[in-house]
Formats: sequence, structure tokens, C-alpha cells
Amino acid sequence: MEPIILWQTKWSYSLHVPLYLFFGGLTSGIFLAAVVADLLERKWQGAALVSKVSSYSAIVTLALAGFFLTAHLGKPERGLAFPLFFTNYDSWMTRGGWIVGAGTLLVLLYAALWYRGGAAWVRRLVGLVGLPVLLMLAVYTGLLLSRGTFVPLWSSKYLPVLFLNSGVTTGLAASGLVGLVALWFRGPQPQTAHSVVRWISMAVGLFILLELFEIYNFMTYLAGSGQHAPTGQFLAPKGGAHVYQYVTRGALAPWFWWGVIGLGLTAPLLLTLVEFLLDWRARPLRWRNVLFTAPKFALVLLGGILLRCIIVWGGDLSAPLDFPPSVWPIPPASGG
Amino acid sequence: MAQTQVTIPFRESEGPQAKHAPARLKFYVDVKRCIECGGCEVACKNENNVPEGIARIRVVTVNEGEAGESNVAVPCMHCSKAPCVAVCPVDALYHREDGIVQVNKETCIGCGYCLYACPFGAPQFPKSSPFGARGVMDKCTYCAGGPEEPFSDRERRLYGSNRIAEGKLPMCASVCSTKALVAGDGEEVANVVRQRMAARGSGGGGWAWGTAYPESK
Repeated sequence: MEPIILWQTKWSYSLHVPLYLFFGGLTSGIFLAAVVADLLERKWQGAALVSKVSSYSAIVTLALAGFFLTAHLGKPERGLAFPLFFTNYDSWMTRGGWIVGAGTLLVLLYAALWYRGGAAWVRRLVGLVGLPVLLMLAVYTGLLLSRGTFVPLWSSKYLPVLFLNSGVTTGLAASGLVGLVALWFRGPQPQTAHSVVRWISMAVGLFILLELFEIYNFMTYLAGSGQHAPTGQFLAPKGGAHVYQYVTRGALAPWFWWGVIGLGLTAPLLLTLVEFLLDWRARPLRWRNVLFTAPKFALVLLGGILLRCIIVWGGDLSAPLDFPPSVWPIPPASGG
Repeated sequence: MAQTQVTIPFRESEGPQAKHAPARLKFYVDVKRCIECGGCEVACKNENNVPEGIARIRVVTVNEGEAGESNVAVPCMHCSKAPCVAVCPVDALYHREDGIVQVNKETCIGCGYCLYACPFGAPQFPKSSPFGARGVMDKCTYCAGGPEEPFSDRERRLYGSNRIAEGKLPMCASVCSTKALVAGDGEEVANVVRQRMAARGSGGGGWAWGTAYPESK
């Protein structure tokens, strides 16, 4: 048996779909960071600033997601008019269109409430209402792919959770990064103002550990069982094992090991250790954040992009055809 | 040699009322007969004016150079429970009464979701831009044209020929010199398959039948 790539490479032909999935998940994480920072505003000096700049950043990232989503279509003008054209509600693309639409309104409203000022409880209420919708956006990016049931890598069991985790990790990193920039341009701030970035950085470290655990489980599942597409009579009895080889030892291996595991997850984890050591030495947070935390956030974002690229590129390996003559059945007479 | 001709696109065995009832049209791909001549690919291209870069049918070689090497022609199998129909957000893909999975190019948004849902890689997309694929999906129509008026210029230009409306079989199956590719009413096709299996005395080599038509009992 051998893997056969039957597909045209529509989604991996350009970076549109990986970037759409990345920015979609990123927006979820940024919104989460903004709302949590908003809720903890009284406790942490500087949290309000992080929440505010994050809410503005979510508009930018969602706009980028929308751009890449629309740009990958063969007929973008029909995609833009999705309320008119999307009629199949069994499709995750239709559901996703509405999630993106609802998420856009909530992100805009939340940012507008930050911009205009006014009652904080209204803003926080909008944030809490928007949170499940935005988190669903990250989950949906995984569910969207997992409907490709004959693509072994697009597991409905692992991808939604992995993309949610990655969305939260990258979103927190992006919030920390824009928060850091905002704090820097505000000039010298008290140590406590920088501590919010410190906490975001710690949270990022925790989510990186979770992501590593999920990727390990995912790869173990692919390598071991591989029984992902049992629906095909002659399809993919070992599709998972093939795609495991493709990702970890084949053409995608450098991107996976050096990109996602190395630069995207392990390096930020090592920088987290450095942060702990500097905590112990009680260095000023402001400079430590710039020298170590900012590069760590940037690496996390790079890893998030590469993870989406690998998942989408790996989709080019479809369920391999297999021909075990002993199990060929006699087609029934009824014709169905 | 077992009977290989299946030329009845409409069921006629169910009385006069049923004469105009559509058959359930299906493909049968016999991997033991395919000789990888590529005749089906050429005939399809020629009949439907298929543009460059689009393959409505492909002959795939499995286990090349190894024991058990096989060839198989892969068209759209017009699945009974078609995954492409299930995922299409705009309902551009749908089943005709006769079971053919048709695409409406006036509705398709060219998202590519169907390409990854399809177990056979049947949906095809033009590649005309360095910034990504542009244009809508194209696939095997079972030589049944499209939703436009039959035999119109527009149907011909967008979808190709409409041999089914003429009472003919798809071009690929018509020209297959070894009858590895059999098309027609599901019952008729299944009869051919069973005759071949009886002649061989063992497994038949029907590829993907269970994937494409899973509700068949």
C-alpha cells in the first residue's frame, strides 16, 4: 500500500486558508485576554490599558481573517454576500460564516465601548456575551477542517481542541505584545503596570504546555491507530499512520519539528524558564519584558501560523487507496 | 466474457408509468480490467471541452512496481450520500432525481470545501492566479450537462455535453475498450458485476462501491 495524493492542492496552493484559520483563532484569544483583563482591571494596574489595546487589535486580526477567508474563494463577491448565498446549515462553512459575522459585530461593539468610555459594566457585559461566540470561532476553525472525513490529519477529535488551545495561546501572546508596546510608549510606568504582561506571559507558558501535550496525543493517535476513515471500503485503513510519517518524517517534518515544536513551542517555553530565573534575581520587569517576553510572544505567533500551515498542507494527503482482494464484496443487486 | 453492455439509462421494468421514472445512475470501476490506456480521460476532455488543468476523470496507479499493482479510473462516483453535497455551504451541489450529483456553477463560491470532503478527489478547481485559485468548481457531470436548458450553448459552455438527455451513456464508459468502467442504472450495473464475479469465481475488483453507495443492501 502507498499513500496517494489525489487532490488538487487548492487550500495549500496559497497561504490564504492557513492565515484565515490563524487569524480567526488569534482573534478569539485576543478577545479572551481583553475581557479577562477588563474584569481584573481594578486588581492590576495596567490591565485596563492591555484590555483596551487588545480590543482594538481584535478588530485588525478579525479583519485580516475576513480578508484571507474571502480572498481564497474562487468567487469572493458571492462569499461576501454570504447571508444570501449560504443556505446549507448542515455545513460548517455556513455556520462559520455566521459565527464570523456575529463575532465581528461583538468585537466592533466591545472596541467601540472602550473607545467611547462610559459605564464599564455595559462593556464587560458585552465582553462576557461575546466571549462564547469568539471562543466558538477558534473551535469552528478545527471543526471546519474535520468535516473532511477522508483526510486523516483533519481529526474531528483533536483539531477543534488543538485550534482552540492554539488560538488562546497566540491570542494571549498577541495581547501581551500589544500591551507591552502600549506600556512602552506611555513612558516609564510603575513596576505593577508591567506585571500584567508578566501574568499573561505565565499564562502563555501554561497553554504552551497544554498544546504540547495535545500535539503529542494527536501524533500518538495518528501513529498508533490510524483508523480515521473507516467509512471508505477501500480507503485509509492506515491513513493516520501515513500522515504521521508525512508530518513527522516526510516533507512537512522540518516545518513541524523546527517550526512548530522548536521555534513555536519549545523556545518560548525556554524563555519562560529564563523569566522565572530573572524573577528570582529580581530584575526590573520593564527591561525583562522587552528582552525576553516580547521575543517569546513573537515566537508563539510564528508557531501558531506554522501549525495552521502544517495542518492545511497535511490535508493534501488524502486517505490512501488500498486493494485487499480478499475483502472485495459482491455489490448488491438493488443498486441503492 | 460476461455481458458488459449497459445502455439503459431509464428503468423500463416497472410498468408503463415508470417508463419516465429516472434510474439511479451509477459507475462501476473494475480494477481487474483497467489497462491504464487513458482513453476515458481523453474522451472526457474531448467530449466536454474540459479546460487545461482540470481532470474530470483520472486513471490512478496503486502499488506501482509492486505486487498487486492496480489501475483504477477515478471519476466522480456520484455518491448516494455525497459528502460534497453535505458540506457545500451554498447548496451548489445537489442530487438530481436520477442520482447524478450535479454542480450549479452560478451558485458555487469556489471555496474548495467539497474537494477535501470528497473521498475520490473529484472536484476540480482552475488555477489561474499566483494569489490563489480563482473560478468555480468543475467535476464529472456523468455527461448530463448542467442545470441550464438542455443542449443550450450556455449548458455546453459551462458543463459540457448532455449525453444522458440524448439517452446515451457517459463518454468515458462508452469508449472504455475493456469495459473496466461501466455506467448505467444501478441494477443493471450490479448485474454485470455479479456476472463477472461468477465468471472469475472470486472477488470482483469493484472499487469504492461501498464508499459511493453505502445504503445499498
